[in-house]
Amino acid sequence: MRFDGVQFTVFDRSNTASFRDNDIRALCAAKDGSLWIGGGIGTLFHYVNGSFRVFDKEAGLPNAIVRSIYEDRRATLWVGTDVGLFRLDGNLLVRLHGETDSVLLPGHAIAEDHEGRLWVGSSTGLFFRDGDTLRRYSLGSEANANRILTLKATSDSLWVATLAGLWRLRDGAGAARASKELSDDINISLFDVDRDGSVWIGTFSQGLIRLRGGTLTAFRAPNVLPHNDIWAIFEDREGNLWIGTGDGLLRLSKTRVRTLTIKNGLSDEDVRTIYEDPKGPLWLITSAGQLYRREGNRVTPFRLGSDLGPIRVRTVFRDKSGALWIGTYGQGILRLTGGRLQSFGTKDGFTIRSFYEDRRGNIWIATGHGLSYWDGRRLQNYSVEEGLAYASVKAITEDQDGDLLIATDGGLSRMHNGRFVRDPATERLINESILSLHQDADGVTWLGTRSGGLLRIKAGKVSQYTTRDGLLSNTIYQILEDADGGLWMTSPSGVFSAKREGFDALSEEKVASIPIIVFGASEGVELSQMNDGGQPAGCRTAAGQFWFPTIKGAVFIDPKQIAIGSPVPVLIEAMLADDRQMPITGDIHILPGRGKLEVHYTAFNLRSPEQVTFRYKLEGFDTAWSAATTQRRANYTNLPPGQYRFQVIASNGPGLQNTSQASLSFVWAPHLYQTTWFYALCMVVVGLLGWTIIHLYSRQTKARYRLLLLAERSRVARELHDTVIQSCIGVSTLLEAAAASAQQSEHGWTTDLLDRARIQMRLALDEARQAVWDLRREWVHLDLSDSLAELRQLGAERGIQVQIETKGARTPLDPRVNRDLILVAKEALRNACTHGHPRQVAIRLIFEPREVRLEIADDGCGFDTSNQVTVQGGHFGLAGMRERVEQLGGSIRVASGPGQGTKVIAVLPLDRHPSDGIEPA
Amino acid sequence: MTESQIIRILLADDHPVVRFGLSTIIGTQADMTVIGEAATGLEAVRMFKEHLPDVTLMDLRMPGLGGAEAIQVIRKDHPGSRFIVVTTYHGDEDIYKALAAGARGYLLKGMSHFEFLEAIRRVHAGSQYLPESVRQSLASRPPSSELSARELQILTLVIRGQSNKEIANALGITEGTVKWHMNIILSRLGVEDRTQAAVSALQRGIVEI
Repeated sequence: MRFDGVQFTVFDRSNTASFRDNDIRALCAAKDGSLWIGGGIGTLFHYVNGSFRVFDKEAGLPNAIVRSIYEDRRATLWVGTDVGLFRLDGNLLVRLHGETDSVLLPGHAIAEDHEGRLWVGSSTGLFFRDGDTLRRYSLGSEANANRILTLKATSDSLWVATLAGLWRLRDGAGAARASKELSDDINISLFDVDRDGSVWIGTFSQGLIRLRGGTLTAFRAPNVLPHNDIWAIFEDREGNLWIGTGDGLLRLSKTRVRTLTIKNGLSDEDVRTIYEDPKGPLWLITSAGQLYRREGNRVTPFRLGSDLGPIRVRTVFRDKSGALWIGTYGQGILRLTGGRLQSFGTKDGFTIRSFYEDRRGNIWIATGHGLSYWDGRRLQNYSVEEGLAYASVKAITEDQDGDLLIATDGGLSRMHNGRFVRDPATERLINESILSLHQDADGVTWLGTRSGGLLRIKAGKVSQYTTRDGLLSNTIYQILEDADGGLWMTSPSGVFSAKREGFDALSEEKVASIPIIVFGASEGVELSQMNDGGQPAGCRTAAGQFWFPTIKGAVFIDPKQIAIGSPVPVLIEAMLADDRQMPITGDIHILPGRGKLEVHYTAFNLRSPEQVTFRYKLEGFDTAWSAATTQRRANYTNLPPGQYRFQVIASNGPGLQNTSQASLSFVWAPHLYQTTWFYALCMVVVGLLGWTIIHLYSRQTKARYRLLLLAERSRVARELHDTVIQSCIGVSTLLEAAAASAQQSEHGWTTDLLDRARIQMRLALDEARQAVWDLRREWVHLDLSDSLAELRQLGAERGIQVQIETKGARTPLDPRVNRDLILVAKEALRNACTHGHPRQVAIRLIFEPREVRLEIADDGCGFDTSNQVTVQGGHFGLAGMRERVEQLGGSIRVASGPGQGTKVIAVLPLDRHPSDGIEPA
Repeated sequence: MTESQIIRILLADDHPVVRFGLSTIIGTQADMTVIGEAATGLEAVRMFKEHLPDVTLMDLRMPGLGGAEAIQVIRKDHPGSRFIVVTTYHGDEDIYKALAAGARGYLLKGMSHFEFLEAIRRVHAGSQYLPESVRQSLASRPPSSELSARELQILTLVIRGQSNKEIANALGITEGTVKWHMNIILSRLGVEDRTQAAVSALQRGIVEI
């Protein structure tokens, strides 16, 4: 079980896998901060960085209870068992032998004395180490005297507790001078020697005994101890003594806060005001109205030689002229100068609350009825009628400008040049019950209120501080200032102090709360005993001591004696990632998860754990330090993967003093989907997907467009068919009819003309039909040579062999080029058939790099190309073709001669690249 | 020439000029006579029954009953009747339909009168008359390319540029069903995609728009 001042942590079999049972007999905190644990029979644990390492049989440990563990000055670890003393050598435990090897020497207690000699005590006697041998040291012939309970080494001695008393070995084993320090009849259970050299001896049924400078002091139940059985004594790092008794744990503070009580001469411990006379003693006044002078640790009543009868004193004050002013309960004011007592205001029945001397030497008096001013001869009174905030005046002070500030039970009044004035501060403080006033060195006014916290007037601006801001209480009886600018305040909850800069830090939001030091229970001041009887409710003496009135006497604290907070080591004790406990040593690599992190840390300050403050920061995530809550853990959720360093700083005491620091680095691995390359991959995939979608969409759109275009082309084709072609067919049919009829007659010329007309008509029909055909198909990249193949049929119908040959790299052609070439070929073939009567026609399609050439050569009779009539008449169909071809930048030549056949050559340029095949029809 | 040797011809064409021209050509021949002219398929059926011609020249596209259907109707009652299709179209499906209906000749309008007269005589003589180009078209027709009514419907809508979704909506079937039909259509037409299917359907006269 571990206690760090705030929380207990239990390590047992249920939460610590290494533990075989819950039998823990020995503990040893090593200098490196790790812990050695005797885990019952045959097991030693080393707790380091949050994990347990086991030493057992394999390490050389016998199957016996581990009774004690000790780390000597050279950091060698010694382990005492029922069957001998072992030294840890690396990973092995090596047993030390006795003088006679056969004896198994138990090691129940181990200590290294001031000379560096190792001592072992057990029920069989006391031994010291000599090399690798243990030698016996006899404490006499009595058996019990050699039954060793515990050992403790101090700077000059070895203390040995036996069943028969306490021994002190001063000069080591060599000198063999042992002195018996305690009688036999004390049943020692254990003992400890504190840092001051006091030996604290626990007993069975005989309480606690302190042995100091030869003097025995017994502490017995029920006065100090709850029980007379003492089980444990421990002095912590801060010098507090922890005593385990049969009925609970007790903490004995080294008292730095001391008190003056009845023992010191008070007849009544209810002290109400304390005032240090600049010219003399410290004055203490009790609620009974008795005035005391303090001299050293004694107080003596101060009798006023007066004919007024018994005087109930409430407050005293020494002015600069040396006169002592005494305020009374309803008996006015007494003024003592040079042994002469003067009284005034008696008849008014004034109760005097406090005195104040302004910078001009005027005496101001706070009373239950208002504010009074002593002009040297008589009192001048100010009341609510004159503008005073409230009749019941508590305290008076003067600000930098010489204005008088008057604290009342019903607000603050400011007096400027003898007149009450209002300002934002007085307005703000209306109805506030002000108990105390303090003007600090910087001219800032501090006001303690009843339940309104601490108020600050700085440059006319009022700030309020309460328990929310870190104060111990919202009722402030008195405000004092130490030499370092710390404000000391008394409250119903005790005494506390705060640095003035702490308030500025709060306003500037540098801190979440004002760091305070509490002088509470752990300092020996009982919380509820502070007295607010009147002013001055405490004072700071010229020597720097702070005195406060309590109902249990006057307490005083000497800040110089308070060694506030030596640094306390901060420890990171556990880390939970996604609720899984992580090892906190070595390279910490956390697997991908939800990013929930919890870090547990602590620092050990047992006396005033509330003084320990923490700040932590997760480097790699936090940009600023977080002030820790009382929970000693830091929580994070949704941490992104990455490299982190958790840092925690513990401050023992206010501010950033006495710090210690711990840190823990770890790497939180990313999920696959959190890695950079995964993001990159996602980007690529998204990009590809996007591209694919766009591509598919555009393809779809294109296909859609093609279909729509197809539909449109079909419509145009149908239109063409229904109109032009039908008409042509009609005309053509008529011409055919006319030709047929003319053949029956003798008019040859008619036949000739009709021939021309019907051929022209058929040509037109062919073209139109071809156009319709093309409209339906020309977006498809038809190979021209395939189209030309159809011409074979044309020739076959006329009994002419048509050879088709393609040369060069076939290039997709512009649809119009394609069509024109086919029409040229068709017409040329038709002409050849009609006029040349060939046997065969050779059609050659030649693809050149820049042009495509079509040659139609027949072996017919040919004609004279100079005969224009023939050319125009016989090959008139080509005339139309020529026109079209020339429009496309091409040319048509006809080469022929009688008996030489005819060759038609059409050349079209290829520089116009066909588009997608989609062109406006 | 005896009356019985004269070829009695019925002309069925919705185009009057064509009818006039064809009948003029026929009129120049001593062995032929036009015994009737019909402008629609139904009229053709009625006149056939009335005149029982030797050869009927039938246009394929006519209002109401088409030429191929008219041939089918007539041949049900008169299996030996002879028909020559005279048409503007030369898609393989047109030809196929016409021949399947029982036509013996197939002429493209705009043919020379020699060809025309030759065809009539041949068919009347009991032969077939198919110009080379028509024979080629017929030969290139893929087998099993007959589409069901639903497939034709879908193909028609494809050619009108409608998407599968629109087709599905129009026909009240699911898009998946349309896709399924499309796959069959593509395989029947032996093409790769819907655009090719549309082109093929139009070229071959499977679908008219």
